[in-house]
Amino acid sequence: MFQATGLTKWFGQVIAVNDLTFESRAGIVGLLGPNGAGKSTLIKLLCGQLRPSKGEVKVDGQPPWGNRRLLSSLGYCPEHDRFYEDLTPLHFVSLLTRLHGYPADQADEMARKALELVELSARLESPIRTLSHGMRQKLKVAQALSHDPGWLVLDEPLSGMDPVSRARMIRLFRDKAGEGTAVLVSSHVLHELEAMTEDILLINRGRLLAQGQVGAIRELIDAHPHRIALRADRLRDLGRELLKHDDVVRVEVSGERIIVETRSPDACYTRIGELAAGGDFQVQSMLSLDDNLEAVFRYLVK
Amino acid sequence: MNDAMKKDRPLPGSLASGWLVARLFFRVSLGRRRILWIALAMLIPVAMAIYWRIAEGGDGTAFFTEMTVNLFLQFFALGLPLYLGVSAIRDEIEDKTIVYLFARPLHRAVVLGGKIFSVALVVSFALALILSIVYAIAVSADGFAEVGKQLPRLVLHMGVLAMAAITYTALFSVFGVLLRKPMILAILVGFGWEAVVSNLPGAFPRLTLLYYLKSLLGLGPEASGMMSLLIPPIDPAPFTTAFTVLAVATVLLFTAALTIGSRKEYRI
Repeated sequence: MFQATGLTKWFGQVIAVNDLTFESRAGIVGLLGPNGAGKSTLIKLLCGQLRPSKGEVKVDGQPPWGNRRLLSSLGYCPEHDRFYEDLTPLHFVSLLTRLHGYPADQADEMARKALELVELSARLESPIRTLSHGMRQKLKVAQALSHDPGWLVLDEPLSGMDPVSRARMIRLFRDKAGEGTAVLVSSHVLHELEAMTEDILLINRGRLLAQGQVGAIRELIDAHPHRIALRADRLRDLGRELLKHDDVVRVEVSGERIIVETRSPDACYTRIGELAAGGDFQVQSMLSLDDNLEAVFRYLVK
Repeated sequence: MNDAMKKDRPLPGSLASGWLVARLFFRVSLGRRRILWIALAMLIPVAMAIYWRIAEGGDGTAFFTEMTVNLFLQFFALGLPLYLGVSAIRDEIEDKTIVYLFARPLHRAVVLGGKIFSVALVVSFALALILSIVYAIAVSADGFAEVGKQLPRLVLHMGVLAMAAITYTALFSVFGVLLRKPMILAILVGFGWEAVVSNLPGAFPRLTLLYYLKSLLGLGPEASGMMSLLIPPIDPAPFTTAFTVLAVATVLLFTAALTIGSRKEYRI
Protein backbone atom coordinates (compact mmCIF):
# COMPACT_ATOMS: atom_id res chain seq x y z
CA MET A 1 0.00 0.00 0.00
CA PHE A 2 2.58 2.58 1.13
CA GLN A 3 5.91 2.30 -0.61
CA ALA A 4 9.13 4.30 -0.50
CA THR A 5 12.35 3.71 -2.38
CA GLY A 6 15.42 5.70 -1.45
CA LEU A 7 13.03 8.42 -0.34
CA THR A 8 14.90 11.56 0.66
CA LYS A 9 13.61 15.01 1.48
CA TRP A 10 15.73 17.97 2.41
CA PHE A 11 14.90 21.57 3.21
CA GLY A 12 17.96 23.67 2.45
CA GLN A 13 20.75 22.17 4.53
CA VAL A 14 18.45 20.04 6.67
CA ILE A 15 17.71 16.45 5.71
CA ALA A 16 14.28 15.61 7.10
CA VAL A 17 13.92 12.17 5.52
CA ASN A 18 17.02 10.27 4.55
CA ASP A 19 17.07 7.41 2.06
CA LEU A 20 14.00 5.60 3.36
CA THR A 21 13.03 2.34 1.73
CA PHE A 22 10.04 0.39 2.93
CA GLU A 23 6.86 -1.21 1.81
CA SER A 24 3.86 -1.59 4.06
CA ARG A 25 1.05 -4.09 3.99
CA ALA A 26 -2.66 -3.40 4.27
CA GLY A 27 -4.16 -2.76 7.68
CA ILE A 28 -2.76 -0.35 10.23
CA VAL A 29 0.87 0.69 10.04
CA GLY A 30 2.35 2.52 13.00
CA LEU A 31 4.97 5.17 12.36
CA LEU A 32 7.00 5.47 15.51
CA GLY A 33 9.70 8.01 16.24
CA PRO A 34 10.56 10.78 18.66
CA ASN A 35 9.68 14.41 17.97
CA GLY A 36 11.70 15.70 15.04
CA ALA A 37 12.34 12.20 13.67
CA GLY A 38 10.86 13.04 10.27
CA LYS A 39 7.47 11.42 10.78
CA SER A 40 5.45 14.42 9.68
CA THR A 41 7.65 15.01 6.64
CA LEU A 42 7.26 11.38 5.63
CA ILE A 43 3.51 11.68 6.08
CA LYS A 44 3.38 14.85 3.97
CA LEU A 45 5.32 13.06 1.26
CA LEU A 46 2.87 10.17 1.39
CA CYS A 47 -0.10 12.55 1.24
CA GLY A 48 1.25 14.48 -1.74
CA GLN A 49 1.83 17.66 0.24
CA LEU A 50 5.56 17.56 -0.48
CA ARG A 51 7.61 16.20 -3.37
CA PRO A 52 10.61 13.94 -2.76
CA SER A 53 14.01 15.57 -3.23
CA LYS A 54 15.31 12.16 -4.25
CA GLY A 55 13.90 8.67 -4.56
CA GLU A 56 10.23 7.95 -4.86
CA VAL A 57 7.13 7.49 -2.80
CA LYS A 58 4.04 5.64 -3.92
CA VAL A 59 0.62 4.92 -2.54
CA ASP A 60 -1.17 2.03 -4.14
CA GLY A 61 1.49 2.08 -6.86
CA GLN A 62 1.03 5.75 -7.74
CA PRO A 63 3.00 8.86 -6.81
CA PRO A 64 0.75 11.05 -4.66
CA TRP A 65 1.95 14.57 -5.60
CA GLY A 66 -0.80 16.26 -7.64
CA ASN A 67 -2.61 12.94 -8.04
CA ARG A 68 -6.26 13.92 -7.79
CA ARG A 69 -7.50 10.39 -8.20
CA LEU A 70 -5.43 9.27 -5.22
CA LEU A 71 -6.30 12.35 -3.16
CA SER A 72 -10.01 11.69 -3.68
CA SER A 73 -9.73 8.66 -1.40
CA LEU A 74 -7.25 10.15 1.08
CA GLY A 75 -8.25 11.01 4.62
CA TYR A 76 -5.51 13.12 6.14
CA CYS A 77 -5.35 14.28 9.73
CA PRO A 78 -2.49 16.79 10.02
CA GLU A 79 -0.43 17.18 13.14
CA HIS A 80 -0.87 20.91 13.63
CA ASP A 81 -3.72 22.40 15.60
CA ARG A 82 -4.90 24.91 12.98
CA PHE A 83 -8.46 25.52 11.85
CA TYR A 84 -10.78 28.08 10.34
CA GLU A 85 -11.64 29.16 13.87
CA ASP A 86 -14.90 30.97 13.13
CA LEU A 87 -16.53 28.02 11.40
CA THR A 88 -18.55 25.44 13.27
CA PRO A 89 -17.43 21.77 13.20
CA LEU A 90 -20.42 20.91 11.01
CA HIS A 91 -19.73 23.67 8.50
CA PHE A 92 -16.00 22.85 8.45
CA VAL A 93 -16.38 19.12 7.86
CA SER A 94 -19.31 19.54 5.48
CA LEU A 95 -17.43 22.05 3.34
CA LEU A 96 -14.36 19.84 3.12
CA THR A 97 -16.57 16.87 2.21
CA ARG A 98 -18.17 18.90 -0.56
CA LEU A 99 -14.72 19.42 -2.02
CA HIS A 100 -14.74 15.69 -2.74
CA GLY A 101 -17.63 16.31 -5.12
CA TYR A 102 -20.56 15.49 -2.86
CA PRO A 103 -23.69 17.65 -3.08
CA ALA A 104 -24.44 19.92 -0.11
CA ASP A 105 -27.15 17.78 1.48
CA GLN A 106 -25.17 14.57 1.26
CA ALA A 107 -22.00 16.28 2.49
CA ASP A 108 -23.93 17.63 5.45
CA GLU A 109 -25.20 14.18 6.29
CA MET A 110 -21.73 12.64 5.95
CA ALA A 111 -20.25 15.37 8.12
CA ARG A 112 -22.82 14.72 10.85
CA LYS A 113 -22.02 11.01 10.77
CA ALA A 114 -18.29 11.62 11.00
CA LEU A 115 -18.74 14.05 13.88
CA GLU A 116 -20.95 11.52 15.62
CA LEU A 117 -18.27 8.86 15.17
CA VAL A 118 -15.77 11.03 17.02
CA GLU A 119 -18.39 12.06 19.59
CA LEU A 120 -18.65 15.70 18.66
CA SER A 121 -22.37 15.68 17.95
CA ALA A 122 -23.06 17.91 20.93
CA ARG A 123 -20.83 20.66 19.52
CA LEU A 124 -21.93 20.70 15.89
CA GLU A 125 -22.80 24.39 15.92
CA SER A 126 -20.20 25.77 18.32
CA PRO A 127 -17.45 27.86 16.75
CA ILE A 128 -14.27 25.82 16.47
CA ARG A 129 -12.38 28.37 18.55
CA THR A 130 -14.48 27.36 21.58
CA LEU A 131 -13.49 23.67 21.42
CA SER A 132 -11.01 22.09 23.82
CA HIS A 133 -7.73 20.65 22.56
CA GLY A 134 -9.08 17.11 22.68
CA MET A 135 -12.19 18.10 20.74
CA ARG A 136 -10.08 19.82 18.12
CA GLN A 137 -8.11 16.61 17.70
CA LYS A 138 -11.37 14.75 17.20
CA LEU A 139 -12.47 17.32 14.66
CA LYS A 140 -9.30 16.75 12.64
CA VAL A 141 -10.06 13.04 12.65
CA ALA A 142 -13.67 13.71 11.63
CA GLN A 143 -12.68 15.75 8.58
CA ALA A 144 -10.35 12.94 7.58
CA LEU A 145 -13.11 10.33 7.89
CA SER A 146 -16.18 12.13 6.56
CA HIS A 147 -15.81 11.17 2.88
CA ASP A 148 -15.23 7.48 3.63
CA PRO A 149 -11.57 7.42 2.55
CA GLY A 150 -9.79 4.42 1.18
CA TRP A 151 -6.57 5.32 2.94
CA LEU A 152 -6.22 7.21 6.13
CA VAL A 153 -3.09 9.02 7.26
CA LEU A 154 -3.14 10.27 10.83
CA ASP A 155 -0.33 12.37 12.21
CA GLU A 156 -0.26 12.12 16.01
CA PRO A 157 -4.07 11.86 16.19
CA LEU A 158 -4.23 10.93 19.87
CA SER A 159 -2.16 13.80 21.15
CA GLY A 160 -4.05 15.80 23.77
CA MET A 161 -6.95 13.36 24.11
CA ASP A 162 -8.12 12.00 27.44
CA PRO A 163 -7.65 8.26 28.10
CA VAL A 164 -11.29 7.37 27.37
CA SER A 165 -11.29 9.24 24.07
CA ARG A 166 -7.96 7.65 23.18
CA ALA A 167 -9.37 4.19 23.71
CA ARG A 168 -12.45 4.99 21.62
CA MET A 169 -10.36 6.51 18.87
CA ILE A 170 -8.05 3.50 18.79
CA ARG A 171 -11.11 1.27 18.44
CA LEU A 172 -12.38 3.49 15.63
CA PHE A 173 -9.10 3.21 13.71
CA ARG A 174 -9.08 -0.53 14.16
CA ASP A 175 -12.67 -0.72 12.91
CA LYS A 176 -11.76 1.33 9.85
CA ALA A 177 -8.82 -0.96 9.13
CA GLY A 178 -11.16 -3.92 9.60
CA GLU A 179 -13.44 -2.46 6.93
CA GLY A 180 -10.50 -2.43 4.52
CA THR A 181 -9.18 1.11 4.93
CA ALA A 182 -5.39 1.33 4.82
CA VAL A 183 -4.33 3.28 7.89
CA LEU A 184 -0.99 4.88 8.64
CA VAL A 185 -0.78 6.44 12.06
CA SER A 186 2.15 8.21 13.64
CA SER A 187 3.05 8.59 17.27
CA HIS A 188 6.04 9.01 19.51
CA VAL A 189 4.40 6.83 22.14
CA LEU A 190 4.96 3.11 21.62
CA HIS A 191 2.12 1.84 23.76
CA GLU A 192 -0.39 3.93 21.77
CA LEU A 193 0.69 2.22 18.58
CA GLU A 194 0.89 -1.16 20.28
CA ALA A 195 -2.81 -0.85 21.03
CA MET A 196 -3.55 -0.39 17.35
CA THR A 197 -1.18 -2.50 15.36
CA GLU A 198 1.61 -5.03 15.26
CA ASP A 199 3.24 -3.39 12.22
CA ILE A 200 5.65 -0.64 13.07
CA LEU A 201 8.00 1.59 11.11
CA LEU A 202 10.59 2.97 13.49
CA ILE A 203 12.30 6.14 12.31
CA ASN A 204 14.69 8.60 13.83
CA ARG A 205 16.56 11.56 12.34
CA GLY A 206 14.94 10.82 9.02
CA ARG A 207 16.26 7.28 8.83
CA LEU A 208 14.41 4.01 9.06
CA LEU A 209 15.78 2.18 12.09
CA ALA A 210 13.56 -0.84 12.02
CA GLN A 211 10.48 -2.18 10.37
CA GLY A 212 8.47 -5.05 11.70
CA GLN A 213 6.39 -6.34 14.51
CA VAL A 214 5.97 -4.46 17.75
CA GLY A 215 7.43 -7.46 19.58
CA ALA A 216 10.75 -7.02 17.78
CA ILE A 217 10.81 -3.34 18.67
CA ARG A 218 10.07 -4.24 22.27
CA GLU A 219 13.04 -6.62 22.25
CA LEU A 220 15.26 -3.84 20.99
CA ILE A 221 14.01 -1.65 23.80
CA ASP A 222 14.57 -4.39 26.37
CA ALA A 223 18.09 -4.90 25.05
CA HIS A 224 18.79 -1.24 25.61
CA PRO A 225 20.74 -0.76 28.84
CA HIS A 226 18.51 1.18 31.15
CA ARG A 227 20.16 3.89 33.23
CA ILE A 228 19.37 4.44 36.89
CA ALA A 229 20.79 7.32 38.91
CA LEU A 230 21.27 6.62 42.64
CA ARG A 231 22.13 8.82 45.58
CA ALA A 232 23.40 6.79 48.51
CA ASP A 233 26.19 6.49 51.06
CA ARG A 234 29.30 4.41 50.23
CA LEU A 235 28.76 4.90 46.50
CA ARG A 236 31.82 2.88 45.44
CA ASP A 237 30.84 -0.10 47.59
CA LEU A 238 27.31 0.03 46.22
CA GLY A 239 28.65 0.15 42.68
CA ARG A 240 30.92 -2.85 43.34
CA GLU A 241 27.98 -4.76 44.80
CA LEU A 242 25.76 -4.07 41.80
CA LEU A 243 28.47 -4.99 39.30
CA LYS A 244 28.48 -8.55 40.66
CA HIS A 245 25.28 -9.18 38.69
CA ASP A 246 25.31 -10.07 35.00
CA ASP A 247 22.57 -7.64 33.95
CA VAL A 248 24.57 -4.64 35.16
CA VAL A 249 26.62 -3.46 32.22
CA ARG A 250 28.36 -0.47 33.71
CA VAL A 251 28.55 1.67 36.85
CA GLU A 252 29.79 5.22 36.84
CA VAL A 253 30.37 7.41 39.89
CA SER A 254 29.42 10.95 39.04
CA GLY A 255 29.73 13.46 41.90
CA GLU A 256 27.38 12.48 44.67
CA ARG A 257 25.56 9.82 42.68
CA ILE A 258 26.23 6.72 40.67
CA ILE A 259 24.69 5.87 37.33
CA VAL A 260 23.96 2.20 36.84
CA GLU A 261 23.37 0.76 33.37
CA THR A 262 21.37 -2.44 33.45
CA ARG A 263 19.81 -4.73 30.86
CA SER A 264 17.18 -5.82 33.34
CA PRO A 265 15.74 -2.73 35.00
CA ASP A 266 13.04 -4.59 36.94
CA ALA A 267 15.56 -6.99 38.55
CA CYS A 268 17.93 -4.14 39.28
CA TYR A 269 15.26 -2.02 40.97
CA THR A 270 14.29 -5.02 43.13
CA ARG A 271 17.92 -5.66 44.08
CA ILE A 272 18.54 -2.02 45.01
CA GLY A 273 15.39 -2.11 47.11
CA GLU A 274 16.58 -5.24 48.90
CA LEU A 275 20.01 -3.73 49.58
CA ALA A 276 18.39 -0.64 51.05
CA ALA A 277 15.85 -2.63 53.07
CA GLY A 278 18.60 -4.91 54.43
CA GLY A 279 20.40 -1.89 55.84
CA ASP A 280 23.55 -2.50 53.81
CA PHE A 281 23.30 0.90 52.14
CA GLN A 282 21.32 4.05 52.72
CA VAL A 283 19.74 4.91 49.34
CA GLN A 284 18.49 8.47 49.36
CA SER A 285 17.05 8.64 45.85
CA MET A 286 16.62 6.51 42.80
CA LEU A 287 15.77 7.93 39.41
CA SER A 288 15.26 6.37 35.99
CA LEU A 289 17.10 8.38 33.37
CA ASP A 290 15.67 6.49 30.37
CA ASP A 291 11.95 6.49 30.78
CA ASN A 292 11.27 7.68 27.28
CA LEU A 293 11.65 6.58 23.71
CA GLU A 294 14.25 9.20 23.01
CA ALA A 295 16.82 7.21 24.94
CA VAL A 296 15.94 4.05 23.05
CA PHE A 297 16.34 5.85 19.75
CA ARG A 298 19.70 7.26 20.81
CA TYR A 299 20.75 3.75 21.71
CA LEU A 300 19.52 2.27 18.41
CA VAL A 301 21.30 4.96 16.41
CA LYS A 302 24.56 4.19 18.24
CA MET B 1 -6.83 -0.98 -1.61
CA ASN B 2 -10.35 -1.16 -0.26
CA ASP B 3 -13.73 -0.84 -1.89
CA ALA B 4 -13.77 2.89 -1.39
CA MET B 5 -10.63 3.22 -3.47
CA LYS B 6 -11.73 0.75 -6.10
CA LYS B 7 -14.89 2.73 -6.66
CA ASP B 8 -14.26 5.25 -9.41
CA ARG B 9 -15.57 8.27 -7.60
CA PRO B 10 -16.24 11.16 -9.95
CA LEU B 11 -13.75 13.91 -9.28
CA PRO B 12 -15.23 17.25 -8.24
CA GLY B 13 -15.66 19.88 -10.94
CA SER B 14 -13.16 22.72 -10.97
CA LEU B 15 -15.70 25.54 -11.20
CA ALA B 16 -17.87 24.24 -8.37
CA SER B 17 -14.81 23.61 -6.18
CA GLY B 18 -13.35 27.03 -7.01
CA TRP B 19 -16.63 28.64 -5.99
CA LEU B 20 -16.59 26.70 -2.69
CA VAL B 21 -13.06 27.94 -2.02
CA ALA B 22 -14.19 31.48 -2.84
CA ARG B 23 -17.10 31.14 -0.41
CA LEU B 24 -14.71 29.91 2.23
CA PHE B 25 -12.68 33.06 1.64
CA PHE B 26 -15.74 35.28 2.03
CA ARG B 27 -16.64 33.48 5.25
CA VAL B 28 -13.24 32.99 6.83
CA SER B 29 -10.35 34.87 5.29
CA LEU B 30 -12.24 38.10 4.90
CA GLY B 31 -13.16 38.01 8.57
CA ARG B 32 -14.96 40.60 10.63
CA ARG B 33 -11.85 42.61 11.45
CA ARG B 34 -10.82 42.87 7.81
CA ILE B 35 -14.31 43.90 6.74
CA LEU B 36 -14.30 46.56 9.44
CA TRP B 37 -10.94 47.95 8.30
CA ILE B 38 -12.01 47.96 4.67
CA ALA B 39 -15.33 49.60 5.55
CA LEU B 40 -13.59 52.28 7.60
CA ALA B 41 -11.09 52.96 4.82
CA MET B 42 -13.84 53.11 2.24
CA LEU B 43 -15.68 55.73 4.25
CA ILE B 44 -12.84 58.17 3.57
CA PRO B 45 -13.94 59.03 0.00
CA VAL B 46 -17.56 59.32 1.14
CA ALA B 47 -16.52 61.69 3.92
CA MET B 48 -14.40 63.68 1.47
CA ALA B 49 -17.28 63.95 -0.97
CA ILE B 50 -19.64 65.16 1.75
CA TYR B 51 -17.06 67.68 2.96
CA TRP B 52 -16.49 68.93 -0.60
CA ARG B 53 -20.20 69.28 -1.14
CA ILE B 54 -20.74 71.23 2.09
CA ALA B 55 -17.57 73.30 2.29
CA GLU B 56 -16.47 73.83 -1.29
CA GLY B 57 -18.88 72.75 -4.01
CA GLY B 58 -18.29 73.43 -7.70
CA ASP B 59 -18.12 71.18 -10.74
CA GLY B 60 -19.38 67.84 -9.43
CA THR B 61 -18.45 65.84 -12.51
CA ALA B 62 -14.89 67.16 -12.45
CA PHE B 63 -14.63 66.39 -8.73
CA PHE B 64 -15.94 62.88 -9.34
CA THR B 65 -13.30 62.25 -12.04
CA GLU B 66 -10.60 63.65 -9.78
CA MET B 67 -11.69 61.33 -6.98
CA THR B 68 -11.75 58.33 -9.30
CA VAL B 69 -8.20 58.91 -10.48
CA ASN B 70 -6.45 60.27 -7.40
CA LEU B 71 -8.12 58.31 -4.66
CA PHE B 72 -9.87 55.27 -6.09
CA LEU B 73 -7.46 54.33 -8.84
CA GLN B 74 -4.16 55.37 -7.28
CA PHE B 75 -4.96 54.36 -3.73
CA PHE B 76 -7.89 52.01 -3.15
CA ALA B 77 -7.68 50.00 -6.38
CA LEU B 78 -4.01 49.46 -5.51
CA GLY B 79 -4.25 49.14 -1.75
CA LEU B 80 -7.17 46.75 -1.42
CA PRO B 81 -5.82 44.08 -3.80
CA LEU B 82 -2.45 44.53 -2.13
CA TYR B 83 -3.92 44.00 1.33
CA LEU B 84 -6.24 41.16 0.39
CA GLY B 85 -4.44 39.63 -2.59
CA VAL B 86 -1.18 39.08 -0.74
CA SER B 87 -2.78 37.90 2.47
CA ALA B 88 -5.55 35.71 1.03
CA ILE B 89 -3.04 33.07 0.07
CA ARG B 90 -0.12 33.85 2.36
CA ASP B 91 -2.24 33.85 5.53
CA GLU B 92 -3.55 30.36 4.83
CA ILE B 93 -0.06 29.10 4.13
CA GLU B 94 1.25 30.68 7.32
CA ASP B 95 -1.74 29.39 9.31
CA LYS B 96 -1.29 25.97 7.68
CA THR B 97 -5.04 25.76 7.11
CA ILE B 98 -4.43 25.46 3.37
CA VAL B 99 -3.45 21.85 3.97
CA TYR B 100 -7.14 21.02 4.42
CA LEU B 101 -7.71 22.23 0.86
CA PHE B 102 -4.54 20.84 -0.69
CA ALA B 103 -5.35 17.36 0.66
CA ARG B 104 -8.58 17.31 -1.39
CA PRO B 105 -8.90 16.08 -4.96
CA LEU B 106 -8.55 19.56 -6.42
CA HIS B 107 -5.92 21.05 -8.67
CA ARG B 108 -3.96 23.46 -6.53
CA ALA B 109 -4.68 26.01 -9.25
CA VAL B 110 -8.38 25.71 -8.40
CA VAL B 111 -7.70 26.49 -4.74
CA LEU B 112 -5.51 29.47 -5.62
CA GLY B 113 -7.78 30.59 -8.45
CA GLY B 114 -10.80 30.51 -6.15
CA LYS B 115 -9.03 32.75 -3.70
CA ILE B 116 -7.73 35.21 -6.30
CA PHE B 117 -11.16 35.38 -7.89
CA SER B 118 -12.83 36.06 -4.56
CA VAL B 119 -10.40 38.90 -3.75
CA ALA B 120 -11.01 40.50 -7.16
CA LEU B 121 -14.75 40.16 -6.65
CA VAL B 122 -14.71 41.68 -3.16
CA VAL B 123 -12.49 44.58 -4.21
CA SER B 124 -14.54 45.29 -7.35
CA PHE B 125 -17.76 45.21 -5.36
CA ALA B 126 -16.44 47.48 -2.61
CA LEU B 127 -15.03 49.99 -5.11
CA ALA B 128 -18.22 50.00 -7.20
CA LEU B 129 -20.39 50.53 -4.13
CA ILE B 130 -18.40 53.45 -2.73
CA LEU B 131 -17.83 54.97 -6.16
CA SER B 132 -21.61 55.02 -6.70
CA ILE B 133 -22.13 56.81 -3.40
CA VAL B 134 -19.43 59.37 -4.19
CA TYR B 135 -20.93 59.80 -7.67
CA ALA B 136 -24.35 60.50 -6.23
CA ILE B 137 -22.99 63.01 -3.72
CA ALA B 138 -20.65 64.78 -6.13
CA VAL B 139 -22.56 64.86 -9.41
CA SER B 140 -25.83 65.86 -7.75
CA ALA B 141 -24.09 69.18 -7.07
CA ASP B 142 -24.51 69.87 -10.81
CA GLY B 143 -28.24 69.20 -10.55
CA PHE B 144 -30.14 65.96 -10.23
CA ALA B 145 -30.67 65.76 -14.00
CA GLU B 146 -26.90 65.53 -14.34
CA VAL B 147 -26.87 62.39 -12.15
CA GLY B 148 -28.79 60.54 -14.85
CA LYS B 149 -26.90 62.13 -17.73
CA GLN B 150 -23.50 61.23 -16.39
CA LEU B 151 -24.36 57.57 -15.75
CA PRO B 152 -22.23 56.33 -18.68
CA ARG B 153 -19.27 58.05 -17.02
CA LEU B 154 -20.01 56.20 -13.78
CA VAL B 155 -20.21 52.90 -15.65
CA LEU B 156 -16.90 53.61 -17.41
CA HIS B 157 -15.21 54.50 -14.11
CA MET B 158 -16.64 51.38 -12.48
CA GLY B 159 -15.33 49.27 -15.34
CA VAL B 160 -11.88 50.80 -15.06
CA LEU B 161 -11.80 50.21 -11.31
CA ALA B 162 -12.95 46.60 -11.80
CA MET B 163 -10.16 46.17 -14.35
CA ALA B 164 -7.71 47.67 -11.85
CA ALA B 165 -8.99 45.37 -9.09
CA ILE B 166 -8.56 42.28 -11.24
CA THR B 167 -5.16 43.24 -12.66
CA TYR B 168 -3.67 44.28 -9.31
CA THR B 169 -5.12 41.25 -7.53
CA ALA B 170 -3.40 39.05 -10.11
CA LEU B 171 -0.15 41.01 -9.64
CA PHE B 172 -0.13 40.83 -5.85
CA SER B 173 -1.19 37.20 -5.83
CA VAL B 174 2.07 36.41 -7.61
CA PHE B 175 3.89 37.92 -4.62
CA GLY B 176 1.64 35.99 -2.25
CA VAL B 177 2.39 32.60 -3.76
CA LEU B 178 6.05 33.27 -4.48
CA LEU B 179 7.47 34.98 -1.40
CA ARG B 180 7.44 34.15 2.30
CA LYS B 181 7.34 37.83 3.30
CA PRO B 182 5.68 39.47 0.34
CA MET B 183 4.16 42.59 1.89
CA ILE B 184 7.15 44.96 1.74
CA LEU B 185 7.94 44.20 -1.88
CA ALA B 186 4.26 44.45 -2.74
CA ILE B 187 4.05 47.90 -1.12
CA LEU B 188 7.20 49.02 -2.95
CA VAL B 189 5.79 47.88 -6.27
CA GLY B 190 2.28 49.17 -5.55
CA PHE B 191 2.90 52.54 -4.03
CA GLY B 192 6.48 52.99 -5.22
CA TRP B 193 6.75 51.78 -8.76
CA GLU B 194 3.14 52.10 -9.86
CA ALA B 195 2.29 55.39 -8.20
CA VAL B 196 5.61 57.16 -8.84
CA VAL B 197 6.77 55.84 -12.21
CA SER B 198 3.33 56.26 -13.77
CA ASN B 199 3.70 60.01 -13.28
CA LEU B 200 7.28 60.39 -14.47
CA PRO B 201 7.90 62.38 -17.63
CA GLY B 202 8.86 60.63 -20.83
CA ALA B 203 8.02 57.05 -21.74
CA PHE B 204 8.58 55.60 -18.24
CA PRO B 205 4.85 55.44 -17.40
CA ARG B 206 4.43 52.85 -20.17
CA LEU B 207 6.16 50.43 -17.80
CA THR B 208 3.32 50.69 -15.29
CA LEU B 209 -0.18 49.27 -15.24
CA LEU B 210 -1.53 52.53 -13.85
CA TYR B 211 -0.66 54.37 -17.06
CA TYR B 212 -2.91 52.05 -19.05
CA LEU B 213 -5.66 52.19 -16.45
CA LYS B 214 -5.65 56.00 -16.60
CA SER B 215 -5.56 55.77 -20.38
CA LEU B 216 -8.88 53.93 -20.27
CA LEU B 217 -10.28 57.13 -18.77
CA GLY B 218 -8.52 59.20 -21.42
CA LEU B 219 -6.04 60.62 -18.95
CA GLY B 220 -2.26 60.78 -19.23
CA PRO B 221 0.53 61.03 -16.66
CA GLU B 222 0.45 64.04 -14.39
CA ALA B 223 4.12 64.85 -14.65
CA SER B 224 5.27 68.10 -13.07
CA GLY B 225 8.49 69.87 -12.09
CA MET B 226 11.70 70.65 -13.99
CA MET B 227 11.97 67.24 -15.61
CA SER B 228 8.59 67.55 -17.23
CA LEU B 229 9.70 70.82 -18.84
CA LEU B 230 12.64 69.02 -20.45
CA ILE B 231 10.83 65.77 -21.19
CA PRO B 232 7.14 66.34 -21.71
CA PRO B 233 4.70 63.73 -20.38
CA ILE B 234 3.41 61.24 -22.91
CA ASP B 235 -0.15 61.13 -24.14
CA PRO B 236 -2.56 58.50 -22.89
CA ALA B 237 -2.54 55.24 -24.81
CA PRO B 238 -5.48 54.62 -27.16
CA PHE B 239 -8.37 52.86 -25.41
CA THR B 240 -7.97 49.59 -27.37
CA THR B 241 -4.22 49.47 -26.77
CA ALA B 242 -4.66 50.17 -23.05
CA PHE B 243 -7.36 47.54 -22.72
CA THR B 244 -5.33 44.94 -24.62
CA VAL B 245 -2.19 45.58 -22.58
CA LEU B 246 -4.14 45.27 -19.32
CA ALA B 247 -5.98 42.15 -20.45
CA VAL B 248 -2.75 40.46 -21.55
CA ALA B 249 -0.97 41.53 -18.33
CA THR B 250 -3.84 40.19 -16.22
CA VAL B 251 -3.90 36.84 -18.00
CA LEU B 252 -0.10 36.53 -17.72
CA LEU B 253 -0.03 37.48 -14.04
CA PHE B 254 -2.97 35.25 -13.21
CA THR B 255 -1.36 32.34 -15.05
CA ALA B 256 1.94 33.02 -13.31
CA ALA B 257 0.27 33.02 -9.87
CA LEU B 258 -1.53 29.75 -10.56
CA THR B 259 1.46 28.04 -12.15
CA ILE B 260 3.92 29.08 -9.44
CA GLY B 261 1.43 28.31 -6.69
CA SER B 262 0.61 24.88 -8.10
CA ARG B 263 4.21 23.81 -8.45
CA LYS B 264 5.65 25.36 -5.34
CA GLU B 265 5.98 23.27 -2.21
CA TYR B 266 4.84 24.87 0.99
CA ARG B 267 6.10 23.65 4.35
CA ILE B 268 2.63 23.26 5.77
